[in-house]
Amino acid sequence: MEAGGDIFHMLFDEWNFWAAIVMIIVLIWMFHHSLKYRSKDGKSRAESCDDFKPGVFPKENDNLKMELTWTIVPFILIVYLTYIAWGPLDEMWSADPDAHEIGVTANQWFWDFDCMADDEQDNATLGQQNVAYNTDGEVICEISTIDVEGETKPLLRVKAQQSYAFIMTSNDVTHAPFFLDWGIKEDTQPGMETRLHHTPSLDEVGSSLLMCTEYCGKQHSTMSAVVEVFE
Amino acid sequence: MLSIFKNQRTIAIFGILLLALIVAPSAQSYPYGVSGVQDAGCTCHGQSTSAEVVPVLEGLPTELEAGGTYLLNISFTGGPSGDNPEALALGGFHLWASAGTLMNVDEMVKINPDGSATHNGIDATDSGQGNDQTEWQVEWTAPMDGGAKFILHTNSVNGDGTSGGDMYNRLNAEVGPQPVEQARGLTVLASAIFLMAAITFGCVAWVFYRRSGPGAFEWEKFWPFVSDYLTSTDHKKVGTLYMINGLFFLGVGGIFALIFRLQLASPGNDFLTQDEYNQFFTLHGTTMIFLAAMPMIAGFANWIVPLQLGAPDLALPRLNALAFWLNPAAALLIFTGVFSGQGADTGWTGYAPYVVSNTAHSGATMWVAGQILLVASSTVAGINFMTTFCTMRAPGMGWMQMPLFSWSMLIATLMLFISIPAFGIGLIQVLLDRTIGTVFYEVAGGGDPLLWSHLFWYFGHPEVYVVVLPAFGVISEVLSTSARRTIFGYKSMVFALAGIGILGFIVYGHHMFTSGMSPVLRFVTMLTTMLVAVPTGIKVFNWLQTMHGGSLVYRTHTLWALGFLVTFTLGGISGMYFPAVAMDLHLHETYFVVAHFHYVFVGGIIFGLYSGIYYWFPKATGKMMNERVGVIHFITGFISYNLVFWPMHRLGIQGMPRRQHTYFITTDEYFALPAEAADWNMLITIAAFMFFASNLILVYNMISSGLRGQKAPNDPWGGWSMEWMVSSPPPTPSHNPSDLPVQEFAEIHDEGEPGLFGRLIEWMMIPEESHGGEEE
Repeated sequence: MEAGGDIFHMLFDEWNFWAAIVMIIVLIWMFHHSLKYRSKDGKSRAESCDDFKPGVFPKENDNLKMELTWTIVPFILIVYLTYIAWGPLDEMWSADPDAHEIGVTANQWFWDFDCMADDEQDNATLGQQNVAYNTDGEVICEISTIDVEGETKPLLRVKAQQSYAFIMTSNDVTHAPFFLDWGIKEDTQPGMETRLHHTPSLDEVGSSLLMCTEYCGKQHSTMSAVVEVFE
Repeated sequence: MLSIFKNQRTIAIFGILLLALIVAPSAQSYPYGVSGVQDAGCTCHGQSTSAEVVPVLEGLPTELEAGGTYLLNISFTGGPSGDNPEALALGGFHLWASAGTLMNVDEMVKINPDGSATHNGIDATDSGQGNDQTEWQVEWTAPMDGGAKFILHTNSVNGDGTSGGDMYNRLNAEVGPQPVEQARGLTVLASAIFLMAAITFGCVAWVFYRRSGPGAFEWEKFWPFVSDYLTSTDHKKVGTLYMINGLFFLGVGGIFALIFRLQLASPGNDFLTQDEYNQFFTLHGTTMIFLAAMPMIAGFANWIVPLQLGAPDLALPRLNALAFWLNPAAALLIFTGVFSGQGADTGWTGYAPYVVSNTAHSGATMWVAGQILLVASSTVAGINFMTTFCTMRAPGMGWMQMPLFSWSMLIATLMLFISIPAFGIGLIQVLLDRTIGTVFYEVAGGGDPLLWSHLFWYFGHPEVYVVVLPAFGVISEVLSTSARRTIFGYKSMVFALAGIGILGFIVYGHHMFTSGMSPVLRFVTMLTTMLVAVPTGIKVFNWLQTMHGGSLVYRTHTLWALGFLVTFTLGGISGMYFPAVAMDLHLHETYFVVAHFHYVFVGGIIFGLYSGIYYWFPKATGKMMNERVGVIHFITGFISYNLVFWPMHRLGIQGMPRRQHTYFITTDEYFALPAEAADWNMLITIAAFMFFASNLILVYNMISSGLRGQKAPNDPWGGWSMEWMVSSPPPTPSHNPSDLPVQEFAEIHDEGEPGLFGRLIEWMMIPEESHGGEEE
């Protein structure tokens, strides 16, 4: 398993490529100029190239073409990067109408999951909030507990290739569940409903730790849960 | 000697303040003193404890049984209670237990949200309630291990409906085994702050001692030497105070970082409790930004701006001193909570609704109050600098002939001025919420959970540029002077500064990509944030091209400037990962963010300011700094700095969340951080200690060079701006007001100055009679 989802890694590789190019240009430029144009005798008072005198505004040193070049070229790069960062937005924010909804309620300092089982459909499990089935009778959401470093934490089990919508809110202050393996997070706000959408892929089968990533007080760092994707 | 105490009014004010400090804590029955939360504590009647009232706490066992339940009888005798036959009430109590659980047995007693117990009924109308008693009963369940401490306050009231004439007293009790007092992190930290204060005092005394020469050393001269600085309105002395203040808190903030780096050195460490860790990272952030970076920048601005503009002093010297003296007062308020174990634990961003919830530490109230003082300080300083820029430029110096450090300060001041009111308003709302019960951020009362984030980041993002722009200014001066070349593209540098200044206000939404803010706003701020790279890129490429055809002289300040180019460019590039929303959803609140902003704050701002210290130190003190020690400082500092922050990028991508007391390594049961994360964290902790130590070299260099350094000429580096015209150290007033320097030009310059923009500013800001730049 790897932290971060597919979209993250796609963008991250692209960004790394361009970052490396920019950084290499800057480093080569810097080392070349700072070594080639260094003062030969190392004296501060050496013959002044532009003949500075205190209180005298020095003669101009500019080149409009060069300045325009490094305004326009980075701008084009920015436009390109924005364009490729734009596409995935749709995938993240567009709600799948068939998504199974899972309730996430944050509290100081524990997570509360709710499979939101449909009572009519799941007569067999009526009154049992912690399991939900799809139309074929397969389990698509199940909640139990797991031991994390000696503390009992909630375990949320979801099915691969099933799309989910997490309907999130908070009972007290701001929290944020971080789905480590999927590379997504969103704050939970009191008095507000926020949403996350995700369809776990078959690559994401396995358990991963879910941490709180919006500071929420004393036990913020141990406010965890485990999310398991099963086939 | 103590001349400030000659004034009787001063003594009276000090007296009242002291009295307030003594009286205020007695109104609370919590062991940690000032909290200001009256409704949850003992609303004690009277100004101080009274021996006439005798509180009694019965029912505590001699041998404590773990988990056992005990019925406690609370009563009191004495005082005015019962004297009045028509009394509306008889008395009240408040009981606090350090461990175990208090439960009420009848409705005469209620349990407060924090677990303490108090009587029911608050005024005369609720007859038959707990306040009509002098005896109460409470059930206490002992903790499973260890003993407990109790603090009981009882009020004896005369029942006239007011608290006048009432009396109260306090009783301490304890039961079972008491824990051995341990040297906790907070005690260590308090000692560290006092140690830093002692070191600073020692440095001052040493500088004074050496200054007068061993033969002429007399204590009688010490107070005049110190009070000269403490009461001065001269921009150079206030600037020095700002620098000492900034470097002092850089040390304090650094010690905070070292302490919590020890905690993070290995997973599952328990060097600090979660509570202590939360306070340390909160105060580390607040200290570094508001008490270290901002004062250091104000220190540079104070020292250099009037000298560069050819002005005798700043426009409003007394306001300048006021702006400085608000800083130490604010620092005291910000740290108040730490000394009682209840320091602010909200993160430097202080997100609502946590900051107004009752789970946040009581120290957060003082922390907010301290920041309000800093807002006042920044506003006052801003007025002063803007007036100076508009009215006190030397004759002949138009807007487009100002040195770039001055330009950067002008843009930074403007940005601060436009952004800081939002922060001030937010802070005042939080303070009101925390003290008098308003509900600006109380969601249950109709408050908006996102309002604070908007107000804070509307200020917070420009604030980042406010601190980084002056560092840009320093680098522009240093590279140009060292390369013996005019800065490449002076005009585009100014426009890039202004561009950053404008863009800085429309990008703040990228801090809130995961906050549940409207997707449209997220998308818009994604576009604008990407654009910031363009003006910043112009600046970096202009700096690089400045060296072209020059004759670069390697000095310590040149090395720091080149180091800045590397680290700031890295910080800038890593910043480009966040505006892509899909990437930010993974990187938000991870160590990647921590790595990014430390590359900008330390690699950008602190490196830039170090460069400035080496560059202007000869001007300020008249002594050259030791280059050999300076190079050692650069090499150790640059390497250890990168060892601290570079691995954090990797940790962030692996998903290590920031602001967490510990971290979890992958087990057979679940996936979390890879095992190597523990090694990286250990490396970071070791390197952090190295980085801290390397900065002590700078302090040593400043003091020893300041005392024994070679004498500096007026223009040691061959710079062109006006600070190099005056002697080193500069006289007072800095430029002779009756013979101001006149800006000259190496080549015929555009007579169109001031241009349209310059005329607009002058028309807006300067009365017709006194035209900018010309001395009346």
